[in-house]
Amino acid sequence: MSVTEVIMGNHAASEGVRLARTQVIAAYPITPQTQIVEKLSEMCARGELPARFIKVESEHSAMACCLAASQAGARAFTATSSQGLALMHELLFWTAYGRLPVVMANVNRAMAPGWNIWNDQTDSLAQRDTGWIQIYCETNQEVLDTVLMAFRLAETVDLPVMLVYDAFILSHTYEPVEIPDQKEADRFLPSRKAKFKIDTSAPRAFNPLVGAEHYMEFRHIMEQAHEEAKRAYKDIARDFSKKFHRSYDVMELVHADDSEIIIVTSGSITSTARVAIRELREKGEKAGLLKMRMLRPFPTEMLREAVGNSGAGKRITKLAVLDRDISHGAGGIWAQEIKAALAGVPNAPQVFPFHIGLGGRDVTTESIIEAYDYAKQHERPERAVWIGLKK
Amino acid sequence: MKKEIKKLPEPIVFKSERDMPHCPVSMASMEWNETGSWRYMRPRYVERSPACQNSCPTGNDIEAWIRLLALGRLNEAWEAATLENPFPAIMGRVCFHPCMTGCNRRELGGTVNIGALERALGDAMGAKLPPAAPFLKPSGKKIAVVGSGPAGLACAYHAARMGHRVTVFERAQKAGGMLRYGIPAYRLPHDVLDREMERLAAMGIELHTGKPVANASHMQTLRQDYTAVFLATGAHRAKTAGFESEKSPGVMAGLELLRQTAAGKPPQIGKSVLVIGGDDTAVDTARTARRLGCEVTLIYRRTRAEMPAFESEVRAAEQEGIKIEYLMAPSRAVIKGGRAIGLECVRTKLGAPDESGRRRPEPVKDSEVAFESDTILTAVGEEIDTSIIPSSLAIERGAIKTGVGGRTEWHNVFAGGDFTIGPRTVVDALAAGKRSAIAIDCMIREEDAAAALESASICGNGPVLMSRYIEKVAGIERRVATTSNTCIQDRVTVFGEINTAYFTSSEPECAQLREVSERLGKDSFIEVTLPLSDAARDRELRRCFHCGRCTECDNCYIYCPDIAIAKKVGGFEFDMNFCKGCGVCSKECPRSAIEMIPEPTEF
Amino acid sequence: MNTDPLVCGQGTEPQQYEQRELMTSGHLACPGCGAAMAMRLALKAMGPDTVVVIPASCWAIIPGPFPYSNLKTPLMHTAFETTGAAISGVRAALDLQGKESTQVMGWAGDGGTFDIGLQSLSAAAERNENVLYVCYDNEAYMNTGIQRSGATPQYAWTTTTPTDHPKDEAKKNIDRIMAAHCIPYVATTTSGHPHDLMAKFAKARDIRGFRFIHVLCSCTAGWKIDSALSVEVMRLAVDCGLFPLYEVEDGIHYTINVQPKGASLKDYLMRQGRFRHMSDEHVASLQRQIEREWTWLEKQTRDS
Repeated sequence: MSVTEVIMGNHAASEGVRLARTQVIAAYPITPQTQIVEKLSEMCARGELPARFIKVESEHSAMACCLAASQAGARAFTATSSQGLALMHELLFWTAYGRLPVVMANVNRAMAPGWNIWNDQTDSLAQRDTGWIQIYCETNQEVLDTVLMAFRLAETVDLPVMLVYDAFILSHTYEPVEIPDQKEADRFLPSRKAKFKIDTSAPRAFNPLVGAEHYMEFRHIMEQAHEEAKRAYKDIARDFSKKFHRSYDVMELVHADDSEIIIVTSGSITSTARVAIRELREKGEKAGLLKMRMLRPFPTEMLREAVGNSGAGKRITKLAVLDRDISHGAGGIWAQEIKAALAGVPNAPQVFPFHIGLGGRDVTTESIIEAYDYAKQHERPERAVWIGLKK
Repeated sequence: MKKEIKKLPEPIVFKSERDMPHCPVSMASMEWNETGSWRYMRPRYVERSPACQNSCPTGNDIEAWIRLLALGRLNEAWEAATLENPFPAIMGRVCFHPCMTGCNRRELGGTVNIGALERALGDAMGAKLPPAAPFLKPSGKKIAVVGSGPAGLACAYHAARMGHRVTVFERAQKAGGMLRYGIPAYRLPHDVLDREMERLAAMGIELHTGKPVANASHMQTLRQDYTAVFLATGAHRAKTAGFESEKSPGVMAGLELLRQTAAGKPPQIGKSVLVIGGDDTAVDTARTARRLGCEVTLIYRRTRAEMPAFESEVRAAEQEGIKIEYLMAPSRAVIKGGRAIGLECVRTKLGAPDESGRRRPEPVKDSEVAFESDTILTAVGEEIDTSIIPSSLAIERGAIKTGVGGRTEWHNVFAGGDFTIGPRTVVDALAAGKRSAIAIDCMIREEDAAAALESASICGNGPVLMSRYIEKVAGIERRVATTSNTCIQDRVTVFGEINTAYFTSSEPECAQLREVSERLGKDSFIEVTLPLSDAARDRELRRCFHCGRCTECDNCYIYCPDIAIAKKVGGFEFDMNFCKGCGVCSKECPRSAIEMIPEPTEF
Repeated sequence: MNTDPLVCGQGTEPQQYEQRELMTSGHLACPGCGAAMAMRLALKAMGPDTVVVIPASCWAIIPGPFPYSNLKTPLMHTAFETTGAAISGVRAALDLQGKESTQVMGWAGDGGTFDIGLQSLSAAAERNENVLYVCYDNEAYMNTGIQRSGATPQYAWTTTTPTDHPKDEAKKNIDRIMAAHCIPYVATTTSGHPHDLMAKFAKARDIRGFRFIHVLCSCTAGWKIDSALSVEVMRLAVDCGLFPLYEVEDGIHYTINVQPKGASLKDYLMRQGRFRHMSDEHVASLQRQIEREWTWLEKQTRDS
């Protein structure tokens, strides 16, 4: 039987890793991720998790260990944040292009300099081109549940999955979390069966030279795997919902039936936005909310379906995209992704990009309403708007 | 480049991405990739003559039997050794081993003690007496050999192995010639000699002892009764030393002492003996006299440096208490009662070199010295008895005149050994016997002996190899190389071609001599030189470089970075599909048995 | 085993070795490649139950392109600086599958060991992972076209240390670094000493914990030597004392395996194009370094 405990987001991740019967963990401490691996160390030490925990000397080595263990057929997990993720960059490609189903938790933290340990999604969004699946979480429960879903998805399509959640707002914040029991988890997540693995009884070379005559095909094969991941995710989410009575779609549209201006969020801002929308609705605004859960593969078709006004004229007029991130010189990353996905859609709404809460600055209902108001008051977006900026 | 050996697997071609695996993973080995096409030089196994073999007048394949002996393959070692040289046990004892002068090991700690090893081989086989089987079918031809010294026995042995019926006529009561009657038993025990004679008899060679071929008319009969006759009666006549009253009683030839002693009837020579001479016969004479209980003084007119006798023999003589007077020449015997009772000598000094290259001794004025003696033994050289040479045959410089393969002016009469001109050593006699056996075989086959001997000799003018001759006439492959596709090369391996990284400098194992007290004790003709211990023999066997011959040491195989050398039973094989021609195998062969040659191009 | 008494060793008794080949022909190493020799011999000693992990290096190329391999053991190519970590990961996974007897062998070049891979190597050694780490050292970044590494000898030419200003700095002493980790086994060898090499790999195979073997491997292109001299120069490197063959157990027990035969350092250097510009002063300076190193090494041997 599952139990409900009040635990911090980081420990929710640890519980998920335990329930996934993860075999190899390699990690390096970095705030605000550290409690995930502290907890896992305890679990390993106490025998609750019969895994090998390799206490490596860097995030780079953490990922190298994980991908190597995964190549040898093991279920591997690591966790990191910000600078650590950036240090792993090379190996993110290695893991994805090697088609290794490693799962990693990244706790969103701002990039230095100057040193800033607070919440900001630039670290993970900057890794969007490495071939990883990225899933953003809103609550501690979602963090735990996503660990289990991530492993199942990763091992279904042979791609690594990064589950992402916000520094401190989730990582260090205690929330009630229903922790499934092991049997339930096992029923959802079977043990890994690798198509190819390091095995001296069936020796193969992994990742040899790939010349121009095969390289494009490998990219195309992997691109198809990302397409497959979208389909597979639906099945997995459906099964998860059936077994645990909690559902996590690729995206969630709140007030889908009548909203005209939709706030687009990811991560924990979503919860704040839910309150803001309630306030706006109470004032009679036809405000909606779109929670983006998956950055890669990007759910283009679902987005067009959800907000592309395909059936009912041009009801949804505007999307106010809140980016707690920045791609300097180009703006908010979520906004770019969404604009690109809606490009060429005849009745697509206008996309209003906002920068908000960078480097851990508080995102309040007021600041979200400020963005909503801006979108409402402007006919079309001109340039990205920085909410709460000292002028 | 010519495609060789095996068919390679085909490379994998993906017609569609659907056939590809989901990740970059290997599906096959690289063996489709014919890296042999990179090559512009290619290796090949070669076999070259070891320097020792080339330095031995008989072309004894020393390397082969050392290798086989080291591997414990005694029978094969014996077979290899007796292919060229019938008497390992004898030659291990009496040969002066020119092979050791040629041995390339000389440059790295000292020459291999081939003599001691040869004796070890002979003695290890000793009692087993395997009769040597003929290589060729019986020819039905009869050959007479006159004289059973080393030349005669060698000719008989080789002729028998070529399928001929051989009869040996020996004047003495026992066979062996100088081996028995010239070399004392403490150097060559008679049981060793007897063993070898028995082996020859077991081969079917008829040994008629006590049957002298006394005169020229007897010779005429022989050459009519036999297809061929080989004369090897040796040189048994002692030269005179040239001092006054040399013919007096109390003066006798050293050779006579040796002969009578060997026959078991040593003459009475008294107590005090002088021996005149400096060659091996002189030293043998002195040491024999010493063993008969005499006080012996050896008188030699030059210094020790010019002395032709083996250094080791001279040393042994001194150990045994033989006094040597150098730079001393006899002038006359002191006669009393018609018998020599002493010798007057004169001191000499060395002058200009004579025709032998040694400095000529010149008498020193007023330097007379007198020695007392019961017997004076002379040993200043031997000459041949020309009385059996028919008058119609030419004599040249005191010996019978011979041509190719010892052939005399009579077409079916051949001669060799001390009976002819040339170096008078046992090993040269064995070589002469073999050359004549081949020449006789050529005569029977009506083939050109000169051409046959040239093609059978190392580099055309070196030692004549029976192995090459029988390969040529009967297609019997007797080569030593263990690896197939070996290119046999007619050249001699020199020290510079040895990769000395694979050998450590080490000193040879030397045979020990029996203690002097034992040598001069009750059994005074007991063999002086002791055999090598088994351990010393094994150490010495391992000192051989095996010049120019593959020993399957694995070096080429181990180093090959392209796994292009396969180990087969009895050797190696290059895989030219993959050999990139780097040359490491050739460079790292310890013994120059692989060479690099330009890659043949195909047009 | 070749028990033939005529077999040639080099200061080491001939080793019993796997007759089967665990490496195939058709690979892409240059003719005479010392690193190709090293792998073949190492695998003979290690046996087929071995996983090989290779970072960026010549050996990333030698096994051939997709979909091929020249090894008959599993091989994982990994990123340049990750060997120490990757072998740890493979080890962990195999252990969890109950394959504790399978050997995991990292196989990195000198750049991947002395330079970019030193961090993960040091960490894996510090954790005393049950793996064998091999540095095949050809003394420069050969695969990228002969650039200097921390393993390049002083005064050597490389494309980044041209003869007008050859390398100023002495070769990093990786063996002392590794010995300072007090791991169970550190050894040096060369592919020009095959029996020594195989003996050390066989010994390492049977030790638990982190093992480090440093194999000097000639590079015909980078050392500027004729391919046939490939083995000879490695032998000279040892025989002139420049590359001592020794073992360190538990960081303190030193054993010198092969005594140099007193070959001339100058002879070693002048056979190689990369050193041919060296002045007599440079040679003398290198000779003094050799003597210092041997004094130190012999002291360790005496003290242990």
